[in-house]
Order: sequence, then C-alpha cells, then structure tokens
Amino acid sequence: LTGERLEEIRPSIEQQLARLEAVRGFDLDESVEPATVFLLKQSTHADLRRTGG
Amino acid sequence: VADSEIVFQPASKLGQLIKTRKLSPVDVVRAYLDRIDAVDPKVGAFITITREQALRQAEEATKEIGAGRYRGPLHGLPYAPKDMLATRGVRTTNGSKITADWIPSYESTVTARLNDAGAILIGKLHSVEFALGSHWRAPFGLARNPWHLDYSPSGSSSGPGAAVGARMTPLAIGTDTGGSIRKPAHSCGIVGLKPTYGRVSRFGVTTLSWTLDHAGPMTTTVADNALLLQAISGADPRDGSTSAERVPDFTGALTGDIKGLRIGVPTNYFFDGIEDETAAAVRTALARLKEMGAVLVDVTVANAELIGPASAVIRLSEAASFHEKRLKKHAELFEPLVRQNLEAASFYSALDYIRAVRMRSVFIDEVRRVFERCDVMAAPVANPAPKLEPEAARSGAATKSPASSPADTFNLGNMTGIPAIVVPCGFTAGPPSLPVGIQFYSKAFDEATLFRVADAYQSATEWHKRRPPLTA
Repeated sequence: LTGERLEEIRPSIEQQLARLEAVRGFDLDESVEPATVFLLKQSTHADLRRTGG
Repeated sequence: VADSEIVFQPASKLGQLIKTRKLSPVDVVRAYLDRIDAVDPKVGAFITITREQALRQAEEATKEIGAGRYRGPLHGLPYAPKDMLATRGVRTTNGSKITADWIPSYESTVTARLNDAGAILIGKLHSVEFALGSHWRAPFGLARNPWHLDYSPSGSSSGPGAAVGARMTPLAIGTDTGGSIRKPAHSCGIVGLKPTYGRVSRFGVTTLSWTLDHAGPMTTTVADNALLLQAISGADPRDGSTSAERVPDFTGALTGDIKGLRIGVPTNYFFDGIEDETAAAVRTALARLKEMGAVLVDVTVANAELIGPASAVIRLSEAASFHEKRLKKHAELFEPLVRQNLEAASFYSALDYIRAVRMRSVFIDEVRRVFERCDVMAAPVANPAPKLEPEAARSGAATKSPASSPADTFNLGNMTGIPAIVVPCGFTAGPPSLPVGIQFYSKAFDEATLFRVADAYQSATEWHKRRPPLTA
C-alpha cells in the first residue's frame, strides 16, 4: 500500500484495529488450542474410526 | 388455486398440487416469472433471470411427471440461489463487476442437488460484492425491501431475502458468514436457516471466509425450509469440511409438539441495543411458546460481547487471503468498501488471527455449557431493516462506538458452527411497518429441533401469511 492509499483508508484501519483491543485484551489460558486444531483432531479421529485405526 | 394465488402458496403445498397433477410445473414457473416481471423492476432482487431455460425445464418436468417419473417434493418447483453459487453455463457474478462475465463450467453441489431433485433454476439473486460490500454501492444496483422500497432487505443475502419476501421464488439459497442468511430473513419477513458447519457442502460457493462460511435455505415457511435443507444436506467428497453425520428426516421433526422443550433465554448481551418494540415482539413470541408447553430457562453466554470482534479478525483475514491475487492485480475494480476492508485487514497480525481462533475454542466450550441447560436458545435477530441511504448520510454509522451498537446475535453460530433459524414473529407499528424475526440456536447437527420449535410457533401464528404491499 502506498502512503497516499494508507491515508485514504486510515479510518477503516483504525476501526479494524479498535476491534482488536477487545480481542487482544481477552485473558486466554495457555491450554487453549486454536479451534482449527480441534477440528483437525476431530476429523483425524473420525478418519481413524472409519479405517478401524 | 387461481393463477394469481400460486405465488402466495407455500412450496410444500405447490409440490403436493404438482404431485397430484392439479398444477403443472409450467403453471408454477409461469406464475413466478409473471410475478418477477411485475415486481422485480422495483425490488431489484434478481441479477439474472433464466426465463427460457426455466420454461424449457418446466415443460420437461411436466412431461416427466405425466409419465409417472415423479422425483419428490421439489420436482417442478422454482428456486434461485444467491449469485455466489456456481451454476454451470449460467453467469455467476458474485455481485461483482470483477466476475460479472464469469460463466462457470461446473455446478455447485447445492444447486446440483436441487437440479437432481427436479427443482428448476429461475434466476440468480442479488448479493453485495463478494458478500462483503455495501448495499448502496452494490455493482448490480440496489436490492430493496419488499415491505417498503425505501428500506434495505439487509444482507449479504439481499437478493434471496427480497425475492422470497416479494414472493418471486418460493425457494432460495443464501450464504451466511456472519448472519447473512438470518439478517435478511428477519428484515424481509421470511424463514432463514444457517445449518451446522459441515451439514451443507460449500463446493462451488465463492469463499468469503473458509472457516465461517455456510450455505442455507431461505423460504416463507418452516416446512419449506425443512424440505429444502433435506435436499441439499449431506457429505460431499468435493468439500472436505462436510460431515458424514447422518441427515435425519427434517419434515418428520415437524410434530407441533414442544411440551417440555427447554428454551434458553439469554440474560446477558443478546438484547443489548435491541429496540424496545423488537425486543417486545421476541418476548411475546417466547410467552406464546411457553403457553404451548415449552419451558423457558435463563441462560448466560460468557464473553458473548467478544464473539463479534474475534469473528471480524477471522473473517477479514481469511477474505483478504482469498482475494490476495485479485487485490494485487485489480484493486481498483473492487467496490470501494470491499477494497478498503480487504486492504485494512493486512494490519491484523498472525498473532491476532491465532488469538481469535483460540478464542473460538473458548466459545465452543461455552456453547456446550449453555446446551446442558436448554434444548434451544432464543435470541433477537437485529433491529428492523435500516433505511437505504448513502453511507455518508447515515448518521454516525462509521463513528458509532461498539458500546452503542446493537448486540451481534449472529456470530455465535458462525464461530462455533452451531445451527440457527430465524422465523417471523411480528411487525413494527410503523409507518413503515417492517418485519421482525426471532432466532433460535441449537446444538450442532440438531436442525431438527430448530425446525420443530419454529414450525410449532409458525403453526400458531399468522405472521408468515401477510403479503408485502407490492403492486406491479
């Protein structure tokens, strides 16, 4: 992005970063894995069940 | 049924009349094409109308049924998907000038399943650009709310909401990444269902956000919605995210019996910022369900106010990744709001994205806890449809603080994958008098219970029988 374009979209960037405040401020326990990992586990386990593993 | 009354009948009734040969698919398709000719110039729900193809297929269906080869309850009925679903040989624009001339060489699984069931494609429906843009600047013009043309049908499934609401198609397919089926269902006075993540294939559905996108049915009645979900559900080898979970008989779930059903009513967040008249309509609907035998249970959803912000990080990061090449090559061709959102998403870091995906696990655990206390959870949907006006003229739209915005009642479903249905539960006093819906969530893969409670409510009320004040 050029400097000029950055200036043009500054309000949108600021709005999106404002949303992050709440996300960054949330107290996450280190034991919490990303939901994608959870879904991968689920699908792997399902595959294992199907193949009798 | 008189010709002029065809478009006001539920799809399930039209299907019965076709099955018993009291109506032919040609009669039905012609009635809807006439309705489109009469009101769509005002409503703007269709991007493409497949008139000749639809009439040809209606004639084939009529012959097929006449020869005793009846395929099932959707045979001979018109349908229309949001223009984010690929249809072989039929222009698929994604609501964007960038893909305005794209004619797919393949069929989305959803539309393929509907075609196999004998349903007839009648056209492709309006969407804001790539399901992410603005109504005002939508490249294919404004879609309008059939209950008042100065108001928005809401989006991003603006076309499906407006078309079903205006009785221009009995069956439509929308997509929902953060409420985009449920918001227009509420605003247009119809039924919309976001299925469980993995229930319906997204093969051939243009991506907004891989881990949040869903496709689902939009109809005037719950029974029609159940029929439509039945036809499009189930595992698909071309979409690895679909589930092998058994697809139950959804119509069989419409027993009308909700005695003892536990309906969770959130005591935190979900009613925040919802206007009194809308909240009252939802609470009146809950009181009606209690009279019918349901048990209302207070529930809380911890950290509900964080679901919206976390989902925005995921949605926009994934959208920016999906459109990365297009954005580098043709940034200027995007509608300005879409371009701006995608460019601004590059300011989210990998850490922010992973944090949001970890928060998703927290919300999934929370949902498990909530559904230990209830079978479904009710919530408002949103405030009534907003007036259509340029973004700049909207008072404080861009500067509104999150604290003063109405609750984000949608992203709980997209972030955790659980299904949700919206069913009409009233109208504002007006003027203008605009529809209000109530939303129900259930456990993953329990759409049958959603249909049961929504159908029981609809059978006891008349909201879905009102007709929008549209004239040719």
